Amino acid sequence: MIQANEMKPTKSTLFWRGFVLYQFIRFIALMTKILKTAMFPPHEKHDEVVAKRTE
Amino acid sequence: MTRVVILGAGFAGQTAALYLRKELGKDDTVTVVAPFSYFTYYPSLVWVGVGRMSEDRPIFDLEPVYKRHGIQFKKGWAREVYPDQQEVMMEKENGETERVPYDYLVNATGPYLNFEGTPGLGPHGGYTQSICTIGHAKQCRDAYLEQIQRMEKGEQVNIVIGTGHGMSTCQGAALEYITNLHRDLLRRKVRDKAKIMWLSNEPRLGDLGVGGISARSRGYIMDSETFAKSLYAEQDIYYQTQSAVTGVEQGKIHWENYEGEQGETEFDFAMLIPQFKGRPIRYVDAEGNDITGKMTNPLGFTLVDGGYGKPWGEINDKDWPSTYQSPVYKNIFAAGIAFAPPGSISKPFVNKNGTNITSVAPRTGMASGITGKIVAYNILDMIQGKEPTHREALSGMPGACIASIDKSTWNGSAATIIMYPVAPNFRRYPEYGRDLNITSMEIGLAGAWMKRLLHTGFIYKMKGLPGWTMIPE
Ligand SMILES: Cc1cc2nc3c(=O)[nH]c(=O)nc-3n(C[C@H](O)[C@H](O)[C@H](O)COP(=O)(O)OP(=O)(O)OC[C@H]3O[C@@H](n4cnc5c(N)ncnc54)[C@H](O)[C@@H]3O)c2cc1C
Repeated sequence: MIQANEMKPTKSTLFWRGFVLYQFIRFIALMTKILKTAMFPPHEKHDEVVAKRTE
Repeated sequence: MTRVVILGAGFAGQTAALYLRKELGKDDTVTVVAPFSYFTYYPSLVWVGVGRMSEDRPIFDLEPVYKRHGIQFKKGWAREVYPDQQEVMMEKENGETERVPYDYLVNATGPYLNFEGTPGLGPHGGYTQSICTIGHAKQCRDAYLEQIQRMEKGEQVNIVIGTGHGMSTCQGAALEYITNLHRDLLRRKVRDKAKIMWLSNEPRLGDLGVGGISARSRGYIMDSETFAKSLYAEQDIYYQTQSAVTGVEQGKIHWENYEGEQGETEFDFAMLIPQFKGRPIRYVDAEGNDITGKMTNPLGFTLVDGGYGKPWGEINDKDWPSTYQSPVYKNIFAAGIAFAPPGSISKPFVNKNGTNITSVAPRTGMASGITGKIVAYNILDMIQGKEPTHREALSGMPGACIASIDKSTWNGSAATIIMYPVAPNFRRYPEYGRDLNITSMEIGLAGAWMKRLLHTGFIYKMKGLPGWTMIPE
C-alpha cells in the first residue's frame, strides 16, 4: 500500500473550493458544459460517419 | 399493431420504454419485463451506504408511472428467448412461467453481479460489502455503522474499498464511496481511528476503467492519475493498484498483482465491487438448440454491431457499437450494460500466473440512457420499414463521473470528471484521445450541487413527469 503525498491542496485552493459565489459560477459553467455536450455533442457529420463506416 | 418487449427497468430499459411509448401508436404495445417493480437510481446508493441518505430516496415505484404512460408491466425474470418464435419466457415470483410474444425485443437487463467469481466476496455469505443494489447498500451501511461504534470506543479499524475481482469495472462508484466515507468519518470525529485503503485492478490510480483522463488545468495538461493521487494525499488514503482480489476470508483479502506476487490485506470493513457479467438468459432456436454462444460474448453480454474479436491495440473508435442491433436477429437490440463492448478501454494485463487483471469498460448511467434512446428510435425506424439510422457510440458519447465527497448543501464537495468521448477516439483527437475543450476534472462545492441536481433531474425524467424529454440522458 502506498501513501500518496503529491499535490496536496493549498489553503487558497481549499478556500476557493468552498467559496459559494465562485462555486456558483463553476456550477453554471459545468452544467452548461454537460448540457451542451449532451444535447449537441460535437459529432462528426452524419455523412462522415457513414463514409467512415464504409471505409 | 407492433409489440415491443423490454427486458429490464433500469436506466436503459426505462429510457427505451418511455421514448417508445411516446412515439408509438395506441394499438402498439410496450411491455416491460423486470423482477422488481421499482426503479433504482444507483449513483445515490453511495450515500445510502454511509448512512447519509435514507433507503427510500434513490428508488421509486414504477407501477404508477407505467399506468400513467400506458406501458404494460410484467413482474418476473426473463430466463429464455426464442428468437425464431419471437417469444420470451419469463419466470414469475411464484415460480410460474409465461411466454411473452414480441415483434421487437430490447435486452436492458444490466449487470449480473458475479460474487461467485471471487471466493468469500460479497454480502451473500461472503465477508465484504457491496453498494450495487439497494439491499446491498443498506447492509453495507449497517456494517459500516457497527465499525463506527468500534471507532467511537477508541478501537483502530482497517477499511478497504475498491474492486473485488481482476476484471471488475465501475471503479467510479468505489471512488465515490471511499471519498464519502472519509468525509463521514471526519464528521463523526473518528477519522484518526481508521486506516482507509484503495485496492483496485486499475493499471494506475485514476484509470477508472477508461484508460485515465487528461484535462487542462491552470496551464498544464493534468492526468487523472495525478488528480487521484492529489485527492488521496489530501484525504490520507493509502492505495494499491494493478491487483486482482483472488479470495476473501474473515478479516483478510487475498490478492495477486501484475508481478504475479500474492499477498494479503487485513480489513475490518471492506466494500469491493464484484465482476460484472451479462444476465444469464438462454437463447434457443426453432430446433431447440442453445444458441446463447452466438448471441452473447463469453461473459454473457449481448453481441450487437461492434467490431468484435480484435486485439486491444487494434480496437478503434469504429469498433464501438452504435445502433445496438443484434447481427443475428435484426429485431433484437441490447442497451446499457447488457451490450457487449469490443474490448476494454484500459490496457489489459495477464500476469505470469495467468490471472487477468483488466479494468473492464464501464457503461455509465449517461451511456445507458443514451443507448436506451438510440435503441427506441432504431426500433421506430424499423417499424417504418427502414434500417436503423440512429447511431451513438461510446467513442462519440460524453460521460460524467461526479464523485461526491459530501452531499451537504453548503459544506459538500465533489470531484467532477467530465469526459468526451468516454472511449478515446485517437482518430479525431490524436494526442489525448479526447476533446480537451470538454474534458475536465475539478473539485469543489459546485460538484456537490450538480450531484444533487442530477439525482432530482434523473429521477424526474425516469418518472416520465411533464417535460421529461427536455432533460438529456
Ligand atoms: C453504486 C453505483 C454508483 C454509480 N454511480 C454512477 C454515476 O455516478 N454516474 C454514472 O453515470 N453511472 C453510475 N453508475 C452506473 C449506472 O448505475 C449504470 O451504468 C446503470 O445503472 C446501467 O443501466 P442499465 O439499464 O444497463 O442497468 P440497470 O440500471 O442495472 O438495470 C437493469 C434492469 O434489468 C432488470 N433485470 C435484471 N435481470 C433481469 C432479467 N433476467 N429479466 C428482466 N429484467 C432483469 C433489473 O432488475 C433492472 O431493472 C453507478 C453504479 C453503481 C452500482
